[in-house]
Amino acid sequence: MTLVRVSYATSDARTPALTAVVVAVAAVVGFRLVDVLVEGDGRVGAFALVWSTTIAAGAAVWRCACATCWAADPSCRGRGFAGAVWRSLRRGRPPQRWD
Amino acid sequence: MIPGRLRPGGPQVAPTVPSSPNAEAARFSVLVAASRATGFVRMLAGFAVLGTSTQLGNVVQSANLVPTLLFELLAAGALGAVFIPMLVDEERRFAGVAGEFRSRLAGTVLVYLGGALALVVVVALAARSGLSDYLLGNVAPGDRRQAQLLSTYLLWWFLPQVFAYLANAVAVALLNARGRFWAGAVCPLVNNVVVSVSLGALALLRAGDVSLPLSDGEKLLIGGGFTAGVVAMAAVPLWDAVGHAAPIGRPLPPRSDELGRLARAAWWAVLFLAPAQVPMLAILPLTNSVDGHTQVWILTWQILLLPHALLASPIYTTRPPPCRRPINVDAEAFGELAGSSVRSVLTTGALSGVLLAALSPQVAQAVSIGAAADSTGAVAAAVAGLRSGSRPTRCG
Repeated sequence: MTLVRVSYATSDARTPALTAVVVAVAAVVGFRLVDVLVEGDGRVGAFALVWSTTIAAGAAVWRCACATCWAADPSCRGRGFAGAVWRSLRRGRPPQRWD
Repeated sequence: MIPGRLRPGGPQVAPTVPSSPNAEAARFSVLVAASRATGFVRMLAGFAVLGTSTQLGNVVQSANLVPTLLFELLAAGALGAVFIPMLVDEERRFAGVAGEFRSRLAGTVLVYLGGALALVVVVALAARSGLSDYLLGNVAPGDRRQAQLLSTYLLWWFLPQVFAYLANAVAVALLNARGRFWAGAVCPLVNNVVVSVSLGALALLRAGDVSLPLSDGEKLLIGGGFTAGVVAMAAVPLWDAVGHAAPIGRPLPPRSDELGRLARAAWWAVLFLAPAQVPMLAILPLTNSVDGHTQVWILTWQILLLPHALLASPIYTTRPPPCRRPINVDAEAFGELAGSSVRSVLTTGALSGVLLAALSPQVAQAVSIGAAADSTGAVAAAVAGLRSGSRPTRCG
């Protein structure tokens, strides 16, 4: 949530939104698989595992996007993750961390 | 943009925003702790009174989630990500007319979002039987009919709660923009107390019986008690806003540029928060298919969020106004402030992950009480599943 707020402060609203869509689709697919494959008390545990894993993966991608975009080039504000990665590649240097 | 007189010298810091975010976060933490402690008591009461051996707990919890999900799906993104930042930004930029701007923005949000929510609630009320079919369609045929009847009844009570959520969100936003956080931190406590008292009264009436159907009085106690809690929750910031925030003003015209700008700014925020609710909507029919599993799912999720709510939410609630100040002036200062906020939140995430991993058997044993005494295995499995992603979850 902190990254969401920071994201909006830098006018990059697309990264969290698109990440959330991907996470939601992955979670729903995972839930459906668990529903078919797992029974008993472990079923609710498997749902929890799917949920936490998809959110964790989304947050990791997101953090990478934030670090890449905002620290590597403050002028990339509002242009999103893809633009920052492209400019980093073009300059021949890896994205920098911002904290 | 609503016309106003620009402050001389360009962007300035609004005098009403607290100068020390750390001190404000500490005060906020204390209030949130009280609210979360009562929230945990409420969750435990629901777990123990509604039980996990029949569909009663599943039905009440999933029906009670429907208005929350609808509100988050439709309105919360626009409010949280657009409304508060715009209030703070405009108050910083303009002198003299900030109060007028807040009034008109609040009126605009209430009228347009309220109208959209009213439409959705009317449709949902008309389709409440279909909603119950969706939520409980996987329940064993012998139990399904009574579960769906109770769910359809409770949705009458619960769906209109979205208007209380909207009023609460607007009042809290207006107060936060003025640097007043206490009402927003305390109002869940009021809700928790009212709902816990309702659950206590139900326990006295039912004496440990968790079978369906319920009597008319018992259904009224759940539907009326839970809704009264939400109304009381909204009343706290509304009462504080009457004395300390701008009155509700005339909404912006439907075809105005200002309204279009607001809608465009809200679009990505809605797209962010709406998908976050989709997995919850998808999983409810699946957990409802096993007695008590929706109860277990919601309780363990709350357990996971507890350390985060106590330690991290005060940071990201009180930091946004200062976070918005330097971005227009000093990108390096902004990076420093935002980076320290992220590090703080990650630290609390790591702490909660370690605690949960170490104490999950004891937690499962401790919460499996009353009519939920036989749910230790399911709670332990859910805690084990959730803890695997707990660290990065704090980040997101």
